[in-house]
Amino acid sequence: MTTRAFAVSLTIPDNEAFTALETVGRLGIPAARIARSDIWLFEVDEGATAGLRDAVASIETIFNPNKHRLVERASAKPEPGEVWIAARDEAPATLVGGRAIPGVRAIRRRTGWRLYDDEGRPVPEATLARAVETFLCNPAFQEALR
Amino acid sequence: MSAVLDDAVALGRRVGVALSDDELRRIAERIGRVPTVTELFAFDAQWSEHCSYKSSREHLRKLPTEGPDVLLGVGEDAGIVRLGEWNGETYGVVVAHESHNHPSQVVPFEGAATGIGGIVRDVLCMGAEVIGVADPLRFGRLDNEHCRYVAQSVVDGIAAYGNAIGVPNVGGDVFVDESFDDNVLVNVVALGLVKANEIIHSRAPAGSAGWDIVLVGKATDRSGFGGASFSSLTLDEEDADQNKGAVQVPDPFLKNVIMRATYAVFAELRAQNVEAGFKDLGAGGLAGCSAELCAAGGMGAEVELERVPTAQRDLPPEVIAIGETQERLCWIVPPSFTPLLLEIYNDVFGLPRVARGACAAEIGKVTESGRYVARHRGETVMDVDLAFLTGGVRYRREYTLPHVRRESEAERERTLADADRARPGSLGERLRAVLAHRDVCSRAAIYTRYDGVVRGCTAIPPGYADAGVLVPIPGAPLAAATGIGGNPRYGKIDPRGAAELAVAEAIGHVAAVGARAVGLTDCLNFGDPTVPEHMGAFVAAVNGLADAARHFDVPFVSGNVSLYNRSSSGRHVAPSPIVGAIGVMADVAASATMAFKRAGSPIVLTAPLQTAFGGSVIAELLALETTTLPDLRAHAFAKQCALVIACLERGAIGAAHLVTDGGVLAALAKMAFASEDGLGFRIDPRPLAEPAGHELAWFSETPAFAVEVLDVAAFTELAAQHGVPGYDAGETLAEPVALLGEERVALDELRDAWEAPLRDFYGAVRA
Amino acid sequence: MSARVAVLVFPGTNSEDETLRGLHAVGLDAALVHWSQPDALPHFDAYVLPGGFAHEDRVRAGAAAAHEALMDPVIEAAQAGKFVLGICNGAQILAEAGLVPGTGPLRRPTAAFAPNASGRFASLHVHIKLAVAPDRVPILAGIEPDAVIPAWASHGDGRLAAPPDELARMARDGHVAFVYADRHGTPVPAANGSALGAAALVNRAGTVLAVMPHPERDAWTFQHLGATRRREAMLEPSGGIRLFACFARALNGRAA
Repeated sequence: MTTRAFAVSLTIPDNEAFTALETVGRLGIPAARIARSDIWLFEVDEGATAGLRDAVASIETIFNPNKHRLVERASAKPEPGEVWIAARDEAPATLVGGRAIPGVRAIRRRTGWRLYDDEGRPVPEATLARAVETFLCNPAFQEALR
Repeated sequence: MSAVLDDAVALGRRVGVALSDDELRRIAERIGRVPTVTELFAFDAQWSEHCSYKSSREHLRKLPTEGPDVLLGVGEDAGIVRLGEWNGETYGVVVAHESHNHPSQVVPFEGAATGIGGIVRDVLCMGAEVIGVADPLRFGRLDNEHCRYVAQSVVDGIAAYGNAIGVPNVGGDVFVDESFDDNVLVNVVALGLVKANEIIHSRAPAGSAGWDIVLVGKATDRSGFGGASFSSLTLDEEDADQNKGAVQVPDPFLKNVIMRATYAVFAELRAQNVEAGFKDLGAGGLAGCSAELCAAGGMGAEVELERVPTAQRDLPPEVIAIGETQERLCWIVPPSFTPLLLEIYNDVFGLPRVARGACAAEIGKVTESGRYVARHRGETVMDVDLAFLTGGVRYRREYTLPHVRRESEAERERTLADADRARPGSLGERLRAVLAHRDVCSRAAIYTRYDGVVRGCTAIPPGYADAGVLVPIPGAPLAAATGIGGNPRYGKIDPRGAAELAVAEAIGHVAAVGARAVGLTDCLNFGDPTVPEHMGAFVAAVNGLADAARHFDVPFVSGNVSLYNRSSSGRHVAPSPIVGAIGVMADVAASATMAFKRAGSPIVLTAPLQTAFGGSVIAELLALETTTLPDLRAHAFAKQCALVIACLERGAIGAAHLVTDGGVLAALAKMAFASEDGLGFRIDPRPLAEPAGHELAWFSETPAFAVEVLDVAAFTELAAQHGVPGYDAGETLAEPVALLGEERVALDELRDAWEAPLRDFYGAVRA
Repeated sequence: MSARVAVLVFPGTNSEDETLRGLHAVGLDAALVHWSQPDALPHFDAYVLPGGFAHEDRVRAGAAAAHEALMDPVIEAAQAGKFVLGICNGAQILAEAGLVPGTGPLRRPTAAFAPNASGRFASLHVHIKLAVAPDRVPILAGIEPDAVIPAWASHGDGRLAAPPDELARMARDGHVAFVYADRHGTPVPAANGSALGAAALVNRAGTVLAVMPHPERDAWTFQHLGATRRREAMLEPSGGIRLFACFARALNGRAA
């Protein structure tokens, strides 16, 4: 079994990212841009990975080409400069959009955040950590994954 | 000159407007030159079906639009009916009704959300507080994954928007039919409250030459560019991918703040006794809105496009002028008021903090020229005669009225008997099947997604009665009810009959909670008007609406037309005239939920049941082929409505429910399900049908009310006064059972059948 | 002099008017305080955070609002022992601000009103029952033991969530002030999956109360939908107004 990660982000303006940026700004955290993705993690049987991307792209509750961009991630971990927020007591799903994908044993969701400075580079680790600690993650029921 | 005309056509084709070659020539001929690109897009929007009603206007003229309770009739963004007097002031209920069908097919969440956003603005711009929304929805078959996704996202979008702005959902309905598989119908209604002497009009006031045109809201961007003309074309799977940029992005957070800021502006205008013009931006964007504002006032406009706040640099002028970025409104105010207007939006309510680049900005002036002039960086990009731009074109579309096959009495009885024999079943078995039908089953999974009680003015939220009831003036007993009517099963058979019954249904729903209908709205959702058969369905429906409205003496005060609801695969939607009724009550104390209130109450029907099953749920379940819709009998129905209202006022009845999908037995079951103490009901086996009794009459969808009588003497007296014979149907029981003659069915069993089909609305698609 | 109550309006708040009406109905001198006027806040005796969608609940319900300038005087006031009542979004903001259960650092929440178990918003009529002794909640003076209050649960993020040891601590120390119940007062599982069936949280001192359902939406007779919908009294406050009446009594008791 292996875990494949897909990131879905909006190709139309992301209001949530706007508010996240505005709020961290008010907290004095230096960031010029925030990007948000819906991260979908699929635990899939080794032999069933081939058709996974097409299957995921065909499920409209995950991906609507009129407003989304879908990227298959190289690994099932956050990229450098990115944090994934997960609900601690998440019960993994087996269906999404009413459909079971062959070979998929469990589906988990995360929210991925990336912060950039005004030169377009990912912010320093300490800055990201501060944003996570003060705003992006509620430790009462969430955890931040790096 | 002919070179100019040809060049105009070539340019139009090159930039991709939906105007026909003929329309392009007409424009070039009138303005005497090749139009600019900006002008092309402006005409494209203004002359689209959506904005100009070019195919429909001649027929819509047949609708009655006047009445003693009309404070503002059709012609502006919303209509206004009288609610009543309180503290020496006359109050009105503002109502607007629109569709957002095509965008909801492409990006259902955003399409439905921006539908609510737009209709709320239509009410707001009349100077009103927004007090409610309703959503009549028509979905494709829900066992299809794509249709299910569209339906879920539409509901999600409506919920996300309405809940965030804090406007309660007071009603709506859901119908499912395969003709909506590729063309979902998302109709939205909004309600507002305004004092009659505080109405703000959607026009430049008299003497407003030199006044400021102020744009408020979201920074203009590329989103939504081409929406009006886009919605007037057919939808194709392949095109859907190219509609990027046509997505209109909702921002209910911004709208929430804009609404509150606008209420503060209203207060200042009233305190200072300043007149203003106010209109929302929709199809046709900034140019469309400001042009209509000035045209309606007989004025002109001069607009500086680079003063428009934009989200992206270097937007071309046509995008700035015609793009349909959401959450925008346009004011016309005297220059002395402008600084305060800007301060309220930009400083006190801080729009720029709420959404990037959002603000209020002065972008032009009202003129006396009667022309619309727009400049961009020193260059004139629009200079057209306003009357010509907004006057649009008119078409006489060819049409063939639908032919509805007449069945003789004997033929109907024969097909009924055959169907009954072919699929036998007890009343209980049939009732269970009826309650589980897609058009009857509980919609709780959907309407509980909507906040029906925010603002604290809801007397009856969705799910508890035929219509939602609001008490919009705190401290006052005045109440307003909203009822919805319209049924695609009827529309497919007989568009005219369906339209009449839609009017009756809407009026009946508000009567069932105790409110007298004072105004109607309509949204006419039809197929391709260039196809005579579908234009004919439209014309027939308008004729039906007009006749019914005249019979009931209730005028239309607002409405919308949505044509071209067909996919290129050739499927047109079922003719769908959808009607809303606004009812008013002097005292909310008379309103009642549809739940049975007491055991041992007589159950009475207000009309004999017709053996007409065309379009009925039972006909579908029994494969009964019949084209005879129930007969409206408008005068008798009007008396029944008056009786129900009088009985509720007197307390003679405890509950009323209009008989609709599934017939009388379904109605009684729902009244029992709603009862707090688990009441049941018994019916007398002898069916109350005409001319000859037939058990299936219990499922006939005759326009009639089922009522629970609390005071027999009072009811009898009122019934005699109103000339309505009552038909004893049975009585309520203390036990949660349905006694159907000899048959005994547990209510829990029936309730489960009723709740099960949509319980998993958000879950798995059933195989 | 009677106590003055501030009803806070954040950007995105939407239940301020009916909340204000509820407070006026029980005789309180209450006023709306807009987010552009944080300087007006310290002059009040008590604070009410009404329902809505402050910042559209973006990122997390109540999260952005907890960092608003408008919250600073409220936090100070709560620490000074003034009464603070949060309803729905107001309750979420109080949890995000760390004011309930109030056992951890400020703005570092130890419990949350997390997304409903269904993952979706739902609007349902409910009853909530007092789950602690009346003297545990001095903010509600005169409330009867086991009081049952009708309300509307209209939210997408109402599920109490916290690490197991924190939940145990909250239960043991009486931080769960109300639980969901039927109209007879029998506790029922929360439709939103809330841990401990919790409908409301209170701080240690019993002075900061965060209630998820909306009592102000079933606080007038015309809003009742069952046997309590009495025709003769439709415009009278009743039912859910009880919560506000007790709040007023608590405030007036202090002012006296």
